[in-house]
Amino acid sequence: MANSELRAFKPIGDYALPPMPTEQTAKRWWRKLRHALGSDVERIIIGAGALKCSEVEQLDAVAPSPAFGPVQDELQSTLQDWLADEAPSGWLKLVVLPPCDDAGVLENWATEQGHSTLEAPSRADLLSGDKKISLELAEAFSGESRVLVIPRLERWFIRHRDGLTHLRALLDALDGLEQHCVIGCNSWAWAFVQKAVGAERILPTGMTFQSFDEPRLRRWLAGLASAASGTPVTFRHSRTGQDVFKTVDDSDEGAEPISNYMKSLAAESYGIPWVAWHVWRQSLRDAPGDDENRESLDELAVNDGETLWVVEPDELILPETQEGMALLILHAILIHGELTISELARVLPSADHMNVVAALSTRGFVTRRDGRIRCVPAAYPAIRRALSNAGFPSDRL
Amino acid sequence: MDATEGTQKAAKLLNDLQDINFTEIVIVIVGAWLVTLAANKLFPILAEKVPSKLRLYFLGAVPIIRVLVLVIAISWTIPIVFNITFQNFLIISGAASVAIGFALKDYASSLIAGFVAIFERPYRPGDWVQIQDDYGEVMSVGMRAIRIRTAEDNTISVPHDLIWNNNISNSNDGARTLMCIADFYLLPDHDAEQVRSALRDVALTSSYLEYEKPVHVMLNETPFGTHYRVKAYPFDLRDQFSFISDLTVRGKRAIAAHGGREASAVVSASTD
Repeated sequence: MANSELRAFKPIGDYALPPMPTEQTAKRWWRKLRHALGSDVERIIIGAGALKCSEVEQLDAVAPSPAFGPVQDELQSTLQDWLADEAPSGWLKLVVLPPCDDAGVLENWATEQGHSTLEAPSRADLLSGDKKISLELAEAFSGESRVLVIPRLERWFIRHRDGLTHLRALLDALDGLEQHCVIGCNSWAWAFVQKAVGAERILPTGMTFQSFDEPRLRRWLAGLASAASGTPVTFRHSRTGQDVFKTVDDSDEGAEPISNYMKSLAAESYGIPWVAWHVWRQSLRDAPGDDENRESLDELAVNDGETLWVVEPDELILPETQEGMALLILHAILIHGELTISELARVLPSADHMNVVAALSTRGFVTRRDGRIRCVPAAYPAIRRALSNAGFPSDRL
Repeated sequence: MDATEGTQKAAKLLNDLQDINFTEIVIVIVGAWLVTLAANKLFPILAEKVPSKLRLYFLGAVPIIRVLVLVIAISWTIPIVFNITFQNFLIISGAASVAIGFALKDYASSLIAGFVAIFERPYRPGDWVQIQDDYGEVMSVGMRAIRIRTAEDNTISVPHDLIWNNNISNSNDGARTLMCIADFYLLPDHDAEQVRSALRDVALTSSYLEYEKPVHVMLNETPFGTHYRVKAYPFDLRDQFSFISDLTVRGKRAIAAHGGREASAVVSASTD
């Protein structure tokens, strides 16, 4: 993305959610009703089941990482004047980011800019109530580095009565610090720490990136695809056959797209680039191998160099009989970023969650890697909707 | 002469039989019954499907719809049957007063109390109320009585006329949350400041906690020990019992970890 596209971070509370196209919401409800009535004979170009899943290499070519796009550059652009100031009005900056940032915006930024990173204690240490933490922090803050980065404040606590000691000690150490310090925190964790320890009394007002609305998302994803070498790729919607990047007058500036797909994707992903990136990659399909379907598609895509088909993601459904426990698990994982099974047992009200975690994994809500359970970024929209509908305390960007 | 005049007056109280459209009356009654039945069945189902913040609005709409349908049905059918004049109104009122006074006093009192309750709102569907010795969720607000489901899954019918002379304690008053209290009784020999801080952290780290409401830990000395009350709000009032259980289980662990001893075991042992 060009430097002119970089947008400065804004205070949290100013985040503008991309709107969902009205007709898209109506169409979705109409499709659900038809499906419920058993009348699912909508005219579509090709069903998702007839298409092949794209190879990972192909996906990496048309939608390469990092999933956070220009957000890291925007962070540097926002902070550069403050970082250069030898006597700023405030030494602390709080960056609040939506969850599921697996790629690590702040960690990457700190590494690329050569800033020191303060590592969080292990989860076992968090529950030990170790009083020596204050001494260790004092040593860390008296170091030589000019800029200190604490990339994930959510790694400094565990939601347990014994799990807040390190967080409180960290906040005490930050209070009165005279060194540039950038603290990152996921938005769900930020809502929790404000309630649990009153973190907003010590840390400044948080800031976050500007949402990726339809034009911005379309330009970013189109830019990723066009940067791929080889034959140009056309991305067609599997229901309508429309080119999802094409605009009415083929121009880019302020032009209306002919397909609503990007508007829907921007709204569905709440303007979060890494969520949109994961959903986008999951939605890409290759043409079918069988001749019958291929012939009719070839007619439509006769002028395309190469065609990839964009399907709508499957709707994720929570386990019916254990919906309450499933939501408690998802809420806990969003707050902490990732948890092991034993850590989940410490933060949940009851221990009968093993089979529910398995069900959530099977249904695509969570993933398990190295024993740690995380929310699947592409599932975040469904998770957020379910938690909001059930009345759970939510994040606020 | 007087008998003839009285007969004529009585005849004019009702419209002539051939002028009364019985089909229309039946249609209005059946229609009103169907609409009320549909609202009674459909709205509670919808209340469980819609987002949590809309649930109580859907439940609260049912008695209002029922009253509206009843008023419309009565207003529609009365002119069909009765010859509405001021004199006829006085005759009917007089007869109704006698009937109500002797036979239907309590029923009428409950009906009127039910009508008043819709406007004063001492309770509404979805509220958790204490009426005399019964505490439970208001499942439905009928014409004569409300139905409450208790925590023991008992369904209790409470006539509306209790509102005239009894206190109605409403725990949530239409809100999505209510205050939950977990009580602990400790022997005096412990560090109260540490225990109070630990109990506060227990509440702040509960999975059920509502962030927009405060958390308080109160304590006072009793002859048997120190009484702690942890007061906090769950984000969904339907989780109130799970929330109190969670506070109690984790609170007991916190108390034990800070050297507190619960008073109840010692009291029961000393009475043996």
